[in-house]
Amino acid sequence: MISKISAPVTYPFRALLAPIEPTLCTHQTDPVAPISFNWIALLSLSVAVGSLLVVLGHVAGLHNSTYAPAIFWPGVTLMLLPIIRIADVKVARSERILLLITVAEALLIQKILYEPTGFAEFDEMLHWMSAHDILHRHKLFLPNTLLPIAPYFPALEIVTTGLANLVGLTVFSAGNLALMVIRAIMIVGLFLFFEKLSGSTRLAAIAAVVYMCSATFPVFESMFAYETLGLAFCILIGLAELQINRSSVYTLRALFLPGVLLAALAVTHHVSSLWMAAYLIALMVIERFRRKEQSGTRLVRWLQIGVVILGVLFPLVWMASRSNQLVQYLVPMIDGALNSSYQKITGESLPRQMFVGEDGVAQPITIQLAAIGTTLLIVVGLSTGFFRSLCLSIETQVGGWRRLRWVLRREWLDSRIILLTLAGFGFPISVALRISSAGWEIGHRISTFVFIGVAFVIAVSIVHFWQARPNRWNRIVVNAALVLMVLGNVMLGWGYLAIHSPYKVSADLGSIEPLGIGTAQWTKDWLGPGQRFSADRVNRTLLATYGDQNIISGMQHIDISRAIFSKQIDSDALYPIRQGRIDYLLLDLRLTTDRAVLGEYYEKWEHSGGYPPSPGFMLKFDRDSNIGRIYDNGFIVIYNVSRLHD
Amino acid sequence: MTKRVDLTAGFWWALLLLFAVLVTDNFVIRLLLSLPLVFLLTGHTVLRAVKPVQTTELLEHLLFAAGASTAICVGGGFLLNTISMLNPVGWAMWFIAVNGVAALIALPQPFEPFVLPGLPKIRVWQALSFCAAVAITAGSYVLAAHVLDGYREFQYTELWLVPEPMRGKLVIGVRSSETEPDEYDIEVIADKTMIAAFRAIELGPGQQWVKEITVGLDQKRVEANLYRTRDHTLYRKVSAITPGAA
Repeated sequence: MISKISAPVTYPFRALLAPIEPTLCTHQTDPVAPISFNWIALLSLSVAVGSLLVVLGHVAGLHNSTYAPAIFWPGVTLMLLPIIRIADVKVARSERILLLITVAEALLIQKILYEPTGFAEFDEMLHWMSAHDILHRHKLFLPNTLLPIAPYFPALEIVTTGLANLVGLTVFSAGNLALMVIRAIMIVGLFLFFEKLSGSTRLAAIAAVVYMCSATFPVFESMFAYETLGLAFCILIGLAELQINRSSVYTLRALFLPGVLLAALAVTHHVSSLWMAAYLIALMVIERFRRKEQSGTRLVRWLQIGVVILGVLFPLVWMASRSNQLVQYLVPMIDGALNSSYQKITGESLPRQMFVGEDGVAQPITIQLAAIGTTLLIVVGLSTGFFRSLCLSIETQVGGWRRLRWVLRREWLDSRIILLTLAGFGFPISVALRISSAGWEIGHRISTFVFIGVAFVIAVSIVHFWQARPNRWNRIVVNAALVLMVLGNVMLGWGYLAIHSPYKVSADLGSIEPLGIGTAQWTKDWLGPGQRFSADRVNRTLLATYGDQNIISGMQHIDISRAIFSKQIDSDALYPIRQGRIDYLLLDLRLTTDRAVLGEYYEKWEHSGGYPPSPGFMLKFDRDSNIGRIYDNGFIVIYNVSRLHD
Repeated sequence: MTKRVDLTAGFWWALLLLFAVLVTDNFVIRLLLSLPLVFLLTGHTVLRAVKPVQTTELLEHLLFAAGASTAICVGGGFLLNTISMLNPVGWAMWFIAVNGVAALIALPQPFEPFVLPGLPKIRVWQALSFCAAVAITAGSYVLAAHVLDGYREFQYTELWLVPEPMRGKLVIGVRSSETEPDEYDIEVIADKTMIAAFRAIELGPGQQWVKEITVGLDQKRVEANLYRTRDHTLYRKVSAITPGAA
């Protein structure tokens, strides 16, 4: 009687909650299909034509053409078209894998096509400098004035210079070859990891595609930087650990592969190795919570504990033995983020304005819409997938919310699925951190790791909810949504700097052009390498890489902006020159023409107020008879200030 | 593979690489030998020797082999650094050593055949499409390198005045990165006195003019002014302190 009455009352609630309830589809998730070379051939052509359009878009952008976005973005869309086949229902496994590699490499190629003859991203320049030193001086651990921590995590540079040595290539060519291999390892590893977890090829392929919506995927993970290799190692370690768990024959040798990979990870990237250690510890904790009968033997449990011990031991030993600099590097970053978050919570600071750069320029409306659309789709995917993913590894045919009981009773089969699902909570945290100025960098970077969980949850939602009963319409909608999500993420990741454009002030890759490079090369040719130089943010990376100069900056606790932003050559201006024993000062007068795109000309803490230095302030050095103006090209001037500290 | 070819392949491959490193600078040959060794073969041989995990399929084995190979390469870098051998020969020797030792461990063990899949059947038009895709992508890269690298947003002329290590001498130089050839005059002044003048220096785009001037030991500050001959406007100005005055 009560149920008869309550049914109509509870119906709206049940209907409302139905999309998020943990019911899984009972259909076959992976229909068998033969590989279609027709599709592969067509989609390869689509990627190739897309790459051509991307280049034409850059050419148009350089000439300030308004048509540049209309050429460039369709090109990127063509490069992403294989996604419609990867995520489709009836596709052969090998075809999905081939197309996954194609899309992942296409996004890397899109980045390479931006600057096809040299690295241009700020972080890449830092590692380029280290690799260049290793290649030409045949030694590790040489000081890197741009990123003092980099020489202590030289794995990417070792692999690159090893290849460069053997083949006779430049760091740039060898680095890009290494990046292509690393990208393939990463995406295939991710696919196999998801496939082993879920038992579904389709779900794994969709999850790998969704991972491309991680904030760091389009740019950061395409860079010649230590995290790129670190992430690939992390995924392989996760897969190797999973393999130990799933294997039927166990020996102590099983520790060899995760051991070798963990050791390599420890010397590759500090944050990645700490994330890996955290993952292994969290996995062990969740595994201890699990009530279900252990599937493996006692040896398996010991092997897994062994992996955890190695995962914690290697990075700690390496950091303790080599990298005292790590504390100096990471602590201010974390401290800044915490302070910023605290100020945000207490209302002491204004939030970072969304879609508005540090120079006050708003992103184009298309990019804003793409970002909002992508975030909304991720939120929808997470909402509809969270409970389904949480209940994916429970052994019951019961449907609806009652499935949660098994989870609450801690009777899951695979703790990794629980951990990945819970990692989905990291997404809102990373978005919240990105809203604050100081937390932006941390929020941006944690998405690299939490998005592995997010991708899995969203893939579960697609396979078990949105396409639970695949038909023509939900296939079209889901495929289109996935392409739009990845495209939106590429647009958001690159912003309006995605397309080559005329020179911009302090915009990292948007400021790198032949004049700056030529000046840096001049310093090497006429002053010799290893001179003590100081310059603005962009020119110091050029001086360190193309010019092979010794850079003095905030990394050495020398704030040269004090000398630049003062009206006279007074004691305040002289302090950083004398303290840093700077011999040469490179002044780029183009800085005086506009606000800095990234908000800083020299250092984050400079007293510029976000506005350019006056030309009079910069050229005040002309008035001192002890200073030589040794170089002038009309835009850049180099002063010899060595007499000020001798 | 039914024979044990794959166990020793890495070793022979590495030997070939050492030979190539010693006798040729041809980067295609060295690339074809290096790339598989650095990113796959070494890891494959080591995994076949140690057998740490039971891989269920070829793709998984290849993936682990690639990861292990990269990690072994990293280890090699540390070892070669210790013995000051971070050079082409050192790297080739490292791969010979690792592959050789791994093969020695693997060979006495019970042999597990390593099965490679057969080649898929591809139609002619499909193969042509792949080739076209590769050609278009490569063409895009070449186009990007040519157009983007050749694009000069700023046209400029460089002037410099650099003290020579030899006391009392300065090097003065001009380089044109303009779009058109131009003519320049240079005047060198020390203590308000012109000590040298160079007239009608003709420079085309990419051309450079360099001169060494003797300024004596007692000179303190030397200035050089660059004028464009056609309108005699001051175009660039540099200065230097003579080394002798230090």
